Amino acid sequence: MALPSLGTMSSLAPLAPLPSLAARPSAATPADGFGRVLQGLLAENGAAQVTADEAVRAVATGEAQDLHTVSLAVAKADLSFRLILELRNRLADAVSEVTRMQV
Amino acid sequence: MPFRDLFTASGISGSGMSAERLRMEVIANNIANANSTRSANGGPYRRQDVVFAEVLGKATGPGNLPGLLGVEAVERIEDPSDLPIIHSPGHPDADANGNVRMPNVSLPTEMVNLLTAARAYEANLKAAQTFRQMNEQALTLLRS
Repeated sequence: MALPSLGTMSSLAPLAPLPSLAARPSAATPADGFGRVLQGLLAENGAAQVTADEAVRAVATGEAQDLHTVSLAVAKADLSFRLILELRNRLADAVSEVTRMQV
Repeated sequence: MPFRDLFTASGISGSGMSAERLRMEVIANNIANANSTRSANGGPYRRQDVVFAEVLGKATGPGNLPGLLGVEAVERIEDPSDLPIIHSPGHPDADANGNVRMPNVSLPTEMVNLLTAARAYEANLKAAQTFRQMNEQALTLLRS
């Protein structure tokens, strides 16, 4: 069986040009995304931590009116911190899943 | 302000505990003064009680119902019931006939009230604990 000579083969189609970088939807306004939500939560948690700190200091200095106020403030700070921690863990898990993705 | 609304329930329980603690203070004051024949307003000590009232916030949310903010002690009242009179001529506060008016505090009643206050405090504490448990259980949803 006779092979066609290489010269008769149609030339390869040229590669399509890459879409220019500028045409991509620029990684738009990262401040609007999850980061801002997390920052807002962190600020709130900071306020809760400050309240808990003040409550504990009030106990230490003998100014506290009730013990349960202190316990509740500390529990609130603890819960809100753990909420943020769990959210952060989920985000970190998602990121590491993406980095492990097979290409 | 996401967190402020998240923890309303613990604030409500806290107000309940504060109120019951105040009730316990008043009862303790009653017991301590069970034999006081002199008080700030002249006569013998009169048994005191506290009045609680519900605290409501401004109306928001579905149904436009007022927000729940727990309880607060609004008033401390004196018991106007009759004062028991004992005969004790040697007492410095005795009248011309040797009778002394004693406080209208009855210890059994105060003990029962004390028990009620302690149980009510416990109930508020349990509500706060349950609220915390519910939150912790909800947080486990985020764990994979």
